[in-house]
Amino acid sequence: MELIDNLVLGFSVALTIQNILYCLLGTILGTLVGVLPGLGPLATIAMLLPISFGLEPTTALILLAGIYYGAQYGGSTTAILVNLPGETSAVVTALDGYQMARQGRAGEALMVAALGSFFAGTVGTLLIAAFAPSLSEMALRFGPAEYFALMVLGLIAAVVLAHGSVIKAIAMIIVGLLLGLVGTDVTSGDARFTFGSSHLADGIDFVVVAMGLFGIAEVISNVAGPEEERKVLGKLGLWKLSKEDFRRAAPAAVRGTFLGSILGILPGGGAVLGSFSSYMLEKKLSRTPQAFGKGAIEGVAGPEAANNAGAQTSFIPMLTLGLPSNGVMALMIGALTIHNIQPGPGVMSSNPSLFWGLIASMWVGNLLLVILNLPLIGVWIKLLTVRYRLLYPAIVVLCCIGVFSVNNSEFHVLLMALFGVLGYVFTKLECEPAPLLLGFVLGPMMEENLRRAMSLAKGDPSVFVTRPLSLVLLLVAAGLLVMMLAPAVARRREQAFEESHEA
Amino acid sequence: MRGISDKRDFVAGLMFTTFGLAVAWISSGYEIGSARAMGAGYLPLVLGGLLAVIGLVIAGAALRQGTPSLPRVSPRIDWQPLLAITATVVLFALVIQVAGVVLTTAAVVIVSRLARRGYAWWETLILAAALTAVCVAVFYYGLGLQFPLWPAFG
Repeated sequence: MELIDNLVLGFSVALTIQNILYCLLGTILGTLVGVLPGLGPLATIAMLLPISFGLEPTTALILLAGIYYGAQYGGSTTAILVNLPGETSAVVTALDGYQMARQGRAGEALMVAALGSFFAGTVGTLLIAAFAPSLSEMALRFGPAEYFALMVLGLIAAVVLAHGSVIKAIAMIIVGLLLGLVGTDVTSGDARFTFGSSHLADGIDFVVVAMGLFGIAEVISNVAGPEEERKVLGKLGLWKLSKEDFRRAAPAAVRGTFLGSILGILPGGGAVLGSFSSYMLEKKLSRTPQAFGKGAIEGVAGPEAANNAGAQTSFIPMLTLGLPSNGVMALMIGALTIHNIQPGPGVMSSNPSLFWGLIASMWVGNLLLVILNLPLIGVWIKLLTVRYRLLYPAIVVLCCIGVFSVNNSEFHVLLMALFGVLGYVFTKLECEPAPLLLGFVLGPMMEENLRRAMSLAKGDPSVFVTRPLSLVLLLVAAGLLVMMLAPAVARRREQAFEESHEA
Repeated sequence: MRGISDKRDFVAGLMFTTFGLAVAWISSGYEIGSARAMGAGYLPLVLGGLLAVIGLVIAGAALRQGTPSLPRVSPRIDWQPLLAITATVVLFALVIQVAGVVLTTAAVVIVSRLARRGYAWWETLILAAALTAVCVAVFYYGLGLQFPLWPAFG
């Protein structure tokens, strides 16, 4: 069977000593990031991008992916032990996980989180392996018009499913698209928005934008914020699950896995949406909904499985269509581009060992996380009490050295400072910077496809509505937009996000 | 009642409009071309215009809206961390090639710790020493990045 052949190829790549080591490094770094206060996967991946330049593209992606799903693990550890979700996706884990810890069942909560995540990771990996090839094949038949329509849909959907103001997020996307156009125009060779500076002739470096907006800006916000007290509860409890625990947790984890997998594929989904939805679902299905919030094991198992499944399946649109569904995936696309690999449906046929190797490595990484994290829990507990005031100077130094090393250029470092200030201003104006990053990555691709589509159609814009697939994609995008701007739906969406925050 | 969130949306709207207009104005100087053969200025002109309009809509809605949503973020700008961290990054850019990685890293750590009052000075010194050692080991010796170790004298 083809699937088996592909997986064998994948594992033959993922199981080389070098790739196992980088996978291990990635997952450990990820867990560390999830555990440490005020440091997210986006900022960390941005910081490590320059270091990954020297690696083989496959190894580089394995490392970066490991950070992403490793951070989900670390994030749940802090959620359970100190009631502070290290990552947004672990917000709901804190609800029942911390209560379990207070009842002296932290060990069980951590076990359930780890096993649930591992199960979800396995299913997620299989789903990618099963569905990615057909999606890729379909996408290969796309013309420029379809591609343009698909990107429009991807961007709109990413905005609608994320929280915050829809219209402001759209404005941020456009700002990102425009920033992506800076530099020499590939078609005409004209320099755009370079202000006569040769530094900008190749465009604004992706790493600069990502580190400025997510590294530096976050440091400024976090330092300004209050220092949080992180106290770990004394007793961890038992390191095994009773039959009763297992009976209650297993179905929740299975449901969470499937919910998370589906929501992860959607643009804007990723790991966050899945964990919230799974918590709601478990609470609805439960015969004892009043136990939720008081240490219900289903409330840990479901969301934990969902966020890990979502983290895995959010790779599907990135790998098969070249579409980033969230900020981390935008970084992955940036990493591919840096290694001269054109993201999109061609990756699977032109770089099968990269494609399948990455997928297999995710399963390996999940296994490593389970094996490592349970015995290493003591180390993580020590680290999660590290104070931010000791941590942020290191983040600033790493960002500076990282950006500098990309081109050995001081100019890039100064530009990063500018994006840091911008990012801080954006946060203060409640404009989320993630959509800007999506736009920035897609800007040049969108322009190219728009140009090609229009020149093929001899300047007739109706090409986007006369080609059936493009029409459908644009209609869905328009539908989503209209729905979101309708006041009634907007209010309900607002409420849903509020609830999920309070829940 | 007009809440603080409204005022911020107003500012955000104006920011988008200003940016959009600036982009549109600059790109009108580029070759626009036609829909069939788009020049360098075509898409930025369109997007800049669109952004300007969206900015106006956001600002307009902020002026009209009656019930503001609760602000998630405190609207106050914390100048001390903003200036200290920005200065840190700028300092790095200005001195790395001249002063070398050892002095730069130490200086950068010390300046970054000015972001907030009340940090212990001895903690800053230990941090500076430790981070400098790690950076030299990892980036200079380990990865062989292209910057001097010490200032070049003479």
